[in-house]
Amino acid sequence: MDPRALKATSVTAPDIEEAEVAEPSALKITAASSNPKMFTLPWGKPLASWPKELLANLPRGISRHVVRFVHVGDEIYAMKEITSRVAAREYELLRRLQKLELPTVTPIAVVTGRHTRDGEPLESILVSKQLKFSLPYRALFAGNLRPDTTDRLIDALAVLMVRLHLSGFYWGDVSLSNVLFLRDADAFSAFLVDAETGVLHTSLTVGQREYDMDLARTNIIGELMDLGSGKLLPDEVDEVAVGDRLLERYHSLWGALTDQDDFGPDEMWKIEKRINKLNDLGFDVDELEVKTADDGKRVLVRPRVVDAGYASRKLLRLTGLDVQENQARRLLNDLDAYRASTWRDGEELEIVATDWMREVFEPVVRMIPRGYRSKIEPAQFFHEVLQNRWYMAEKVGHDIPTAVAASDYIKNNLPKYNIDSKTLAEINADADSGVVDDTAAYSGSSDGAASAEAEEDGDIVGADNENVDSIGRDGYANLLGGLGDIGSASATDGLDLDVNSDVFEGMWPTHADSFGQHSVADEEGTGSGAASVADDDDDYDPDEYDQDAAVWIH
Amino acid sequence: MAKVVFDHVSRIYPGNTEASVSDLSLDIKDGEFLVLVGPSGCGKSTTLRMLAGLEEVNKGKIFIGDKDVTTMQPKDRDIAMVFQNYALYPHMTVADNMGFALKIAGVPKEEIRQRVEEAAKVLDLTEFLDRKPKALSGGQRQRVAMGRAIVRKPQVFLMDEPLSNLDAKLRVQTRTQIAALQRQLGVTTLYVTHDQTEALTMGDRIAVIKLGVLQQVGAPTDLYDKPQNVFVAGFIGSPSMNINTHPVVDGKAKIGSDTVELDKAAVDKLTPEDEGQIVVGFRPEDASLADPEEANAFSLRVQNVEDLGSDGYIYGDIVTDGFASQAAATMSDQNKLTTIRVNPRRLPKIGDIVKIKIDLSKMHLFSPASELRLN
Repeated sequence: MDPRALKATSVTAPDIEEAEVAEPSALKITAASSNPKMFTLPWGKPLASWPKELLANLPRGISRHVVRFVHVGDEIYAMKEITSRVAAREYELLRRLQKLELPTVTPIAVVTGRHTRDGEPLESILVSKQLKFSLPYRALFAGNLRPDTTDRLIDALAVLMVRLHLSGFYWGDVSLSNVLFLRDADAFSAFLVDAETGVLHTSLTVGQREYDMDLARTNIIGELMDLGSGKLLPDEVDEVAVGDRLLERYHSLWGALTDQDDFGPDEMWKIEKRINKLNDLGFDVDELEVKTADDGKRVLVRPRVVDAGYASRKLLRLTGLDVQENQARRLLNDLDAYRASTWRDGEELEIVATDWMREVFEPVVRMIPRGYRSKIEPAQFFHEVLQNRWYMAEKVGHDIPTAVAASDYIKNNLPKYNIDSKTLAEINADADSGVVDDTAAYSGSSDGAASAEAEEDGDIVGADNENVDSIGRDGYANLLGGLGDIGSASATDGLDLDVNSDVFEGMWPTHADSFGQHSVADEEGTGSGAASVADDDDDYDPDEYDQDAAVWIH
Repeated sequence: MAKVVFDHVSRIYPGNTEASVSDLSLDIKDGEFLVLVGPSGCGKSTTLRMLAGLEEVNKGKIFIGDKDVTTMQPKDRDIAMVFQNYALYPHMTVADNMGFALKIAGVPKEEIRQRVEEAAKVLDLTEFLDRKPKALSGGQRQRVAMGRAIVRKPQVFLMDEPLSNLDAKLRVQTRTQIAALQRQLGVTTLYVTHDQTEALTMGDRIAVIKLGVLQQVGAPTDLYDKPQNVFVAGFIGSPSMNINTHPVVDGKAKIGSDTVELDKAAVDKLTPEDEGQIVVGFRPEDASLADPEEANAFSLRVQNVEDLGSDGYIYGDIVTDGFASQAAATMSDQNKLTTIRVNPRRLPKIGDIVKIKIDLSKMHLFSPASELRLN
């Protein structure tokens, strides 16, 4: 087991079963950080009926649980209603995956001991940080789709799966719904958002990996068939072929990273070639296993420890920019071009990088209109402006200044980062109709009227990602030495707050007007004057988060 | 459908010296619902994952039907892990939600429709087949999710704590549904849980496992009435069995200041390693209030009483020489107090000292040294 994962545990109670038995009678928040605003939330209400003013209207994926995006101070948190046992387990597992520097959402807290005003117990809530700039796959399919979007999503997922598997993480529930996507230059990066069924092992067996991928294939084909049924998938996409592509990409990447090479003693340069190839794939080699074959005539080489993020680490070191891998590669290329064009090839790259930041990168990203700052990452913007500059130059046959390319991009391309409110409502209604574990819906009539009514009420039953348990509670408990009372976080590694929920009764404004009037108009728009941005949904903090604002621009 | 055989199976995780599952031999009969139950970390999920092919088998063999599947890939084993993800797809009809995996597997359309219709009948979803999930209630959505596993017609269902992320109310409801469904379908099922109530209410047979070692396999009543060792006695049943170690004097157990008769054949089986002691167990419902002068009864100081309407419970400490003592090693609930079920109309008061008589025919006697059953 990776020592980072072993150190990651905050929950030390010996027995996972205890967590269920010992459901606290008063509200209890076990958190990785202290955000005082957490206390002011209406924990005594089912998540599905939290006041709209609190919610960030972001697209959600399909899930069997109720999920909501909630404004908490300056941040947006994703909240998922699940049993305390599953919440505690997933919180812990996400923390370990974070320590392993794997691409996952950041866990924030587990809230247990929730009760309604009448004393009825409510399910626990797992709180995680909303991954900025990310989108569920459904939202990507709602926009103007490039023909190869499906393939690019699948490629990102294959990289994620290889990284998780290399770290010994068996997911048990891979699907597009359990992943969030970030744009990463021309590609995507995939982030795990749901670890309910996962187990962290020392290493995985072939059986575990293959089963995980087989599940992934089935789920993904199912999800695409679903999009197809909803006429959201381009006709030419063959769902089964996409599923098969995932397996093919996964296996080829896995092979490149783990296969043993066989060299003659005079072919040691091939080791370097292998490492370069891995670097090209975005992986760093930490350790190589080199041994001679039994006959003594051949050298066997196998990478033992590989870490993803080769280019992004290099860029981080040079510039302090923390970006996705392909974005980093793009930025590094531009940095190289800048060094060459300014005749500074002999100079230290660190110094050139500082100038490049000041003279090239920062002026461009400062041009991002305010209304888009929560929608597009600066590095992605920079990449797309460079792309646009190239297209423009090709068209007119001469170089185009970056500022011109940026203005043109802002005017003509940036609006694609908006999702119109109708589409957003559709995506979230879709998500709601997949929810299985909403207790409120259960008590409904057998003809399903209850759930339908709830939706028509505008009561968005949300969801991000889902599922029930399947595999490996024991294995996980073995590793942890048991996982139990989630309140027993260690003093150094988390906060453990016992709260009497009554204290907060009344702290929560029950009337919408406490939040002032709606319909703030943000006229800043794209800066080109080509569009007006009407925030028709949420006036909570439009400057910082008009990601919430549903925008309709032609 | 098929039987499942674990033949002396062991699993040792890399880097561990102790086996997580040790020399497990277990038969699951064709069509049987077998529940594997035990505390966290006991190896029950490891056992299930070995059957699924998700965990290597270090020693021994596993058979599904007559096929040795020990080294076979999971997808070739014809098993279904029930209750994995199963959010529903909003744009697909109920029928497509249930049958899409068959479509991927290339099953002909007519056969898919036939299997889906069969499953829908069992799940009471026939009239909803052409509707979208949006039109269903939560309970119906849950059944559609189950339908996905059913239409595959696997040889074996594997369920690993499938109810763990449902709240208490839904859990009871779904528990009943799963058990009824399994019986209707007759598919061999291995069900893993830490919850002995789930085990008792659902399983045809229960296998209790502790620290990787199988403790006892049997029908729920076998385990309840004749637990083979102290662990099973303490694990199965709620409220749990009262279990105490007492000195044996003249063939009788000395409980506090009192003596209680024991089964002679059982006492004869005690060995020198037991050092003149015996473990006496009895369930709360197998003892009753006795008259103050009655022989074969022991004194209990009442620490708490509960009136549940239909039942009353007394929680108390055994009295030795006039003092209530908690020194004896006990394994019952309620802070190690002795629990007795009584008529709720005759509840004593807190602080009273009452006499308790154990039904001799329902007494469970164990060797302190081996912890094995003596009677």
